[in-house]
Parts: sequence; structure tokens; C-alpha cells
Amino acid sequence: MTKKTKLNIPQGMRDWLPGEASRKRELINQLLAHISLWGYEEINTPMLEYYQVLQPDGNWEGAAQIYKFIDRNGEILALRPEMTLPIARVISSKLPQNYPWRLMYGGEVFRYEEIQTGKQREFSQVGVELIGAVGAEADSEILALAVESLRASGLDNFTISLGHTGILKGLLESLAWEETQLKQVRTLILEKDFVGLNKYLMSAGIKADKVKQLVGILTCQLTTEDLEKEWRNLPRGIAIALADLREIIRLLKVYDYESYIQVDFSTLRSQEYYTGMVFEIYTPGIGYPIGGGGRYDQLLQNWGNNCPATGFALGVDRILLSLSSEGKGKKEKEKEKEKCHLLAGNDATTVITKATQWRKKGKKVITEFSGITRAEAEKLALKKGAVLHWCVKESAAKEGGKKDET
Amino acid sequence: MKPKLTIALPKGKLFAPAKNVLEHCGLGCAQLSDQARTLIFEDECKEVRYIICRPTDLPTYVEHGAADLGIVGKDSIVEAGKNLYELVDLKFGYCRFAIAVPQDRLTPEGEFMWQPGFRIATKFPAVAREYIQKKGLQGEIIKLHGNIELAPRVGLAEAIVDIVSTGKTLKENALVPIEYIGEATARLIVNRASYRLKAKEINTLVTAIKDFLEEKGGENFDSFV
Repeated sequence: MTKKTKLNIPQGMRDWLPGEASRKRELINQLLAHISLWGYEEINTPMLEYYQVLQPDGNWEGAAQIYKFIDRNGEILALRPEMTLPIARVISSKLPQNYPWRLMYGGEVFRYEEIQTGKQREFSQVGVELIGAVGAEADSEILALAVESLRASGLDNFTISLGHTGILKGLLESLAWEETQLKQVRTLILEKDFVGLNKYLMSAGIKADKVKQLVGILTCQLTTEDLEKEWRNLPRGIAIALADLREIIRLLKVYDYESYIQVDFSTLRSQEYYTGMVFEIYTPGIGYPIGGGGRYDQLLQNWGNNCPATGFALGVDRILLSLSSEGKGKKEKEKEKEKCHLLAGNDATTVITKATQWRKKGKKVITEFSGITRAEAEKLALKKGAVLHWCVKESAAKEGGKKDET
Repeated sequence: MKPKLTIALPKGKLFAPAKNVLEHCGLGCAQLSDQARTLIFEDECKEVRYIICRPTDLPTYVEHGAADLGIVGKDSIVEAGKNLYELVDLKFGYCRFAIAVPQDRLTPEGEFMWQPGFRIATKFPAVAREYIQKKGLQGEIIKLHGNIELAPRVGLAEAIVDIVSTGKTLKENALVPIEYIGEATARLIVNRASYRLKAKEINTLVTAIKDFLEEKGGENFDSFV
């Protein structure tokens, strides 16, 4: 009788099979290698954290999406839904305060997504945090680094929609409303329900032309040139935010990455900790951003650490998806390097000696020497996509005068 | 050549007015039909591709980027709970979500008492669940795919949540609406990535639609169609 075992895995999880698993690891390594060129150092944090760490001000919109557990002491634990919060914890508790810190990471995060959305609940992120640096210089470094690492991964067709929390905040402040109403407006903008926003503002008694103006600012899509135009009679907060954006874009022009930027004031991330510029990265064929980030100057205060910071995270799984839909294959040279060799034969000594020599040279070698026939070896090589080298015992080869290596 | 835009249109009663709007905005969609077996059409210059799908599935097509834009009732958007951009209220296809119960279940004063363990039959379980949670009621939701008005008559449920436009169907089945929980009209929805990547094409269309709506004065759009 065979034992009944479960063969399936929890919803939203996935196995990475030979081929795809190495493609994913390669992409992560490639991204990290490129980011390290900018002097970023890798950091790792545990998958499990105390729930409180992931809920610093108690109202992250994604709170319902966090996987929670109770440990044996009755503490609430959670699987990290993102990496910025754990890194903020490390910065405030374990690293010396010699700012700025340039940190990067690549790892799995977990979010309890609704099944119907077709999203995975476990996914990999590669990201960076630039901690202890203020101003457009740091923000433009983050944006340029995001563009550059995506390009290094082979992706070129993408757009970054850039906004600024200061602009939205300024607009909302001009309404002089209560917190609950502002929250409702924020949710509507986050969901991009502009019809709902229109109705909500109208029903709250705001004049029609003002509503039109407000929704207009949020829905208009601006090029970076539009920002240069004169914007008159702006409240102070908005003017400061605009100046900040202009400076970020001016610096991006120096990097020559300005063409990837599209200014969109309705850009918002679900995390509420952002305080300055925010951005999301889009690519054709994938209905979701493949990455995003922004400035979060107040987050570290939760750990008593008054320190500005900015950063981004890229969704590795989504980048893989867009790379495959863009049909970006490997270069021939890389393929050659990855070619696998099958050394087979009936004499263990010959096969092992040869394999050891080849591996030292950096070649990929599979060995088979347990009663395998030449025909079987040919079949196996075909299945594994390897090049067969049939090995005959050295002495026998000499005697027979022929050494076969096809 | 790949079409510049893919637009999803709903089968059924919103199809004709949706097609009408697009035609007035200068899109060549004359040959479109929701009766044909073909579900994909292309305009003459191959610039726009149309897909025809069920209203309940339409938000999914747009959310995942299989279509850049779509026209669908707010009722379908609410129920699907998808992550997409809702840009324009097209003002046609007006209807309301109603809670309706059999006439004979009302008290002589015309009130309805929720019995413990009641059942609500509906095509919109998400909407119904939100309603009973808001009211602090405890009940069961039974998902059906059509002809909801049948359920209370045969004892499958005590109440229904459905969309009502004229109220005729309810009346014919001896049901009375006891509460309305929101209105719906057709909306123009846009995929999050397309909104950014095809900004120019989408903005042109959105402006054309808005101009057209303003011209029509919006309010009596249904009668115009």
C-alpha cells in the first residue's frame, strides 16, 4: 500500500524548476552585481519578524495582507511583506551611525493576495535603500540606479511614473478636511477611481470648477518639460514639492535617463510611509508595476532614529515575465559558456580523472559510468542537452589505437 | 503590425451604447457585433483591436493588460474588486443595487425584519457581504449566475441583492426593494500599465469621450441611445 502524501503546495506559492530557477537566480545576481557598482552593500534580514516591526504606525494599508503566526511564547510573528521596514529596524539597532548607508538586498517577501488576481503570494524583490542622505541628489541616484539596473537585466521598454507626496498633501491641505475624509480621498486616488473622486468631492460641497481643477491636476499626464512651465499661485507646500521634482529631473538629465520619466501626480504607493518623491515602474504586457519606491524621511523615527532615507524595490518575478515576453534570449557567447558535457564510459578512473580536469577549467561536466552503454549515453545526452564524450580506458585506447571522443 | 490599442466591450445591454460612444469619437467600429461568433475585431487601419467579453469578466481582461481599455458597468467593477483605473463616468446604463424581499414578508407597516440565519441570493456576493457586514447582520450568501428573482419564490433565499434599473422584474415576481445600496453607470476603465505606456493614445480617446458627453449634456444619455 502506498502512503498517501500531499503533492500540491499552498496557494500563491510556486516551485522553481530546473531552468527557471537558475534564470531567476541569475537575474537576481545580475541586478545585485550591477547595483554594487554604485557602492551598495548587501544586507540580509530574517523572513520572520515580530508583527510590530512590520506595523510601525499601525496603519499600513497592506496590513490585511501580512501572514501572521503566534510563536510558542504567544508573540505575534509575521512573514516580511517587504524589505524596507526590516532594514529600517536594522539601521536603527545594529549599524553605527556613520551615514550615509547604501544597502541592497535580494530576497523573498510574502503577501496574502486574493487568489483571483493571479498574483503570487511569495515573490522575490531586489532593492536598495540609501539611508541618511537628503535631497534631489539622493533621489535622482535612486531613480538612475533603478533605470540602470533594469537596463542591465536586458529590459529597455519601461516607463517610470514619478510623483511627489508633497503635491498630494498640499492639495488635500487646501481642502481643510478631517482625517477620515482625507483618508477616503487618498484611497480613491490610490485606486485611481477618478469618477468616485469627482463624486466624493462634489458631494462634500466643493465647487465644481475647483473639483475639475483638482481632478485635472491628478489625471493630467505631464512630460518633464511641462514641469518647467510657470505654475502660478501655488500653495507653499506644493511649490516646494514641485521644485524638488524639477531638481530631481534636472539631475536625471545629467544621467541621460530623463526619457524614462513621466510625471504623474496621482502616483501613490500602498505604503503610507513615503514623504517625498514616489515612483512606480511599468512595462508593456504586465498590468502591474514591476517596481517602485520613493523617499521616506519619517519612517526611522519609529525606532527613535531621525534619519532621512530613500530607496526602491524591483519585483524579480515580474521582470522575468516581461523579459520572456520581450523575447530577450541569452547571447550566444553565454550559451557556449553554459554548455554542459556528458562524460560517460565504463571505466570509473578514466571518467573521473577527466571530469576533474575539465571542471578545474570551469566546464560543466556530468559523469555516468555505472554500466552504461554507448547507445544509452547518446540518449541521455540528447535528453539533457549535453555534449557526449565517450571515454574508453586509457590503456585499452592505446592498444586499440583509437580514442573516441564525439 | 500590433494594434495601438485594445478595447474590451461588454456583451449584452451595454454593448450598443458603448459602441455608439466609440463611433461618435471617430473610431471605426461599425462592423462590431456582440451577436457574432467572432470575439475579436480589428478596425480598417488595424490601429485598434476590439474584444467582446462577458461584463463580469471584462475587468479581469483590463486588469491583466489583455485589453488596455474597457467599457463596463460600475456594478461589475465593484463586484470584481479589481485594481484598475476608472477614468470616465459614461452616464449610460444607469441601475441601482437593491436589497429586495417578497412582498408578503413585510410587516403590515411595510417593514422587513431580518430573521437570524437568513439567506441572500445574489450575483454579487462581494456587494452582499459588504452590506450585511455594514449592517451587523449574520446571514448566508448564495451565489447564483442569473434570474435571481426566482430564489425567494422557491424558498432558496429570504432576500436578494440585485441590480435594478426599472424595477419591472421585481414587481413581476412580487418582490419589493427595501433598500438601495449604491448606484451604477457604465465606466471607462484603463489598465494601470497602459495608462502610463500608451498615455498619448488613451488621453486622445478620453478627451474625445469627455467632449462627446459634454455635448450630449450627459443626463439624458440613456434616452438618446
